[in-house]
Amino acid sequence: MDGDGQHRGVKVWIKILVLFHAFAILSWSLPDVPRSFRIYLTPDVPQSLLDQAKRPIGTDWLLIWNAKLHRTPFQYYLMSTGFWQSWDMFAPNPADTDVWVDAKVTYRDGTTRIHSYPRMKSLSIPVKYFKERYRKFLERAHVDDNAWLRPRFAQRIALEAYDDPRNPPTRIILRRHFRKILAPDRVTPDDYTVVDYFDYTVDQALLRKEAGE
Amino acid sequence: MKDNPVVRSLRAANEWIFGYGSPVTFGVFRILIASVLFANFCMIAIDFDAWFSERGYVPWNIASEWMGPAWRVNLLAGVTDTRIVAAFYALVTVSAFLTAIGLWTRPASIILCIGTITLHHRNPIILHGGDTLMRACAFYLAIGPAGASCSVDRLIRLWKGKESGPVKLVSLWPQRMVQFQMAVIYFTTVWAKWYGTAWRDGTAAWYPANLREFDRFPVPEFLHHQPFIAMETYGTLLVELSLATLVFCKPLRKWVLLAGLALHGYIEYAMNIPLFAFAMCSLYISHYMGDEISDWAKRLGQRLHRFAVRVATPAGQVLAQGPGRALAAADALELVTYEQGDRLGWSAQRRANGKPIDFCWASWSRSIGGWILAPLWRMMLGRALVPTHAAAEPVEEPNRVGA
Repeated sequence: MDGDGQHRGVKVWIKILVLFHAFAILSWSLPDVPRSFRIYLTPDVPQSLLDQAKRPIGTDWLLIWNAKLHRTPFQYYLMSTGFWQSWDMFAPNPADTDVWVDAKVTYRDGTTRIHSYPRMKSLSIPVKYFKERYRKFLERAHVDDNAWLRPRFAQRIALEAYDDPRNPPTRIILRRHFRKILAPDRVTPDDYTVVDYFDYTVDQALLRKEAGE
Repeated sequence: MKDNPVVRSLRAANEWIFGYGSPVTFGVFRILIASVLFANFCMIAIDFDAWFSERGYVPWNIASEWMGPAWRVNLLAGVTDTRIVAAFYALVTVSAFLTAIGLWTRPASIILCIGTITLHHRNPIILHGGDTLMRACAFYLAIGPAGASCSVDRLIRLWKGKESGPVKLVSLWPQRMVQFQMAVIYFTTVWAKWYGTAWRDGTAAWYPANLREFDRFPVPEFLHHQPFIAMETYGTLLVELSLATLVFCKPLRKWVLLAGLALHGYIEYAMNIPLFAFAMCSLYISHYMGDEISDWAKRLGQRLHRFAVRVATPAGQVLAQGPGRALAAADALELVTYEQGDRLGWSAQRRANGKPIDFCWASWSRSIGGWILAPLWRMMLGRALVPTHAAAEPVEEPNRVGA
């Protein structure tokens, strides 16, 4: 890379790679195809259905073409290498639901305790700066599309709640607390709705192993 | 053919992207973004057990399922021994620090790039936009001339006589990639937001401000009411679009970047989104050429002339050529003048009023390129000396900011 004062110039293959990379990251970063046009991404859709669908205009066609490109081997240049990226912070709409989670832990002797998963609102300003990953993880882990993460989530909660080998946690109930933010012209209630969303029987062998026993 | 406007435009674009210039900008960018990466790894390390161990929330099998079947760059693929993951994590953290200070920059930045990609593929579930940006930037550091200036590597090269004079010019395409990356981020986020009803009707700023889980420092109540919500919403879109477009227009550049700093400063103050603002604003420096930064440092040094000092070597000794160049290069603000003294040991005095000052403190504190070398500074000064009769020729002034 370093010049030697005589500027030998940049080799053609480097120029091609640079331009390709620039195109690739731009392509990968473009917004998703709006829901109303996703039918155009489905192969072999009957013409009659397409005739009834909303017609894409202008840049909609570009996004459809772009989404099709992502289904070609082109995707591997970004997905495999870690160059994948998307810039949809607060887009297309910002999140409008406050969510936090805790767990009702039942122990072998029948007692129950509430175990707190780090909730940002309850933490001090410096601490929450370090613990924000817990909120980010929860943002993805609590949604129904990712329900397959819940057993692991609950097992980890059991480990954190495990402090007496004679009385280990046996059951974990994950509880979601949520509050929807209403539009600015309406009053958003302060209360949270609480829902038990996952009931898990703790794997005792795994618990002992992870506790180092 | 020569006057063909298309050919002329292509030549101009080629010159803009692949032409040569000072590597100082890329050096400053390296310091900024690698420092953010280092801070980020240190912060996540506090909860390493939760995020990277086999007994954490995201053991390898969970991460693997999340990432899908496609092959990915991941040196930790299949590794279930937490000690290995911890050692790897420590290595990447150290490489971020070395990259930030510019020591063994090329290998350190390559380890940082591959390490960051690996760790992000090891646990993708906790990543936010700032992480994605840091990963992209780590790649640019690894392929760009990151150690050519503003680095310990350059000081070492000058000290050993392997380099002399001003920094060598480099092709600017890595810096252009950073500029382009920044434009892509802002342009595509505005485009994506434009599909959202809340952004179009001017209420988008209301929602994040009311999410208690994002709360940080208190914001005046009036900002949560119209018309301020609409001003924040449309102002965000306007500033972000400007940061992707108008920022390339030199007369507007400063104002657009200041607006960007204000936007991210507000977000950093009001919302708990760790390091995102710092990572984003690190890119802003890429819109300035290296010569502009060097000139700015010179002007800043002139404003700070009341802090200027004269540092005198012991009698009968002078700075050797290489070390003299390295010390001058570390003094980016040009506040230190080294001269031959007539006393038994080192001495220093303020240039403004002639008052004596400790020579080591005087020299080190004003040499911002040497701050990271604080524990070694006194020893370095000692080793920089040669007897007067052995000095080959007077020390030339290298491009100081190029340290």
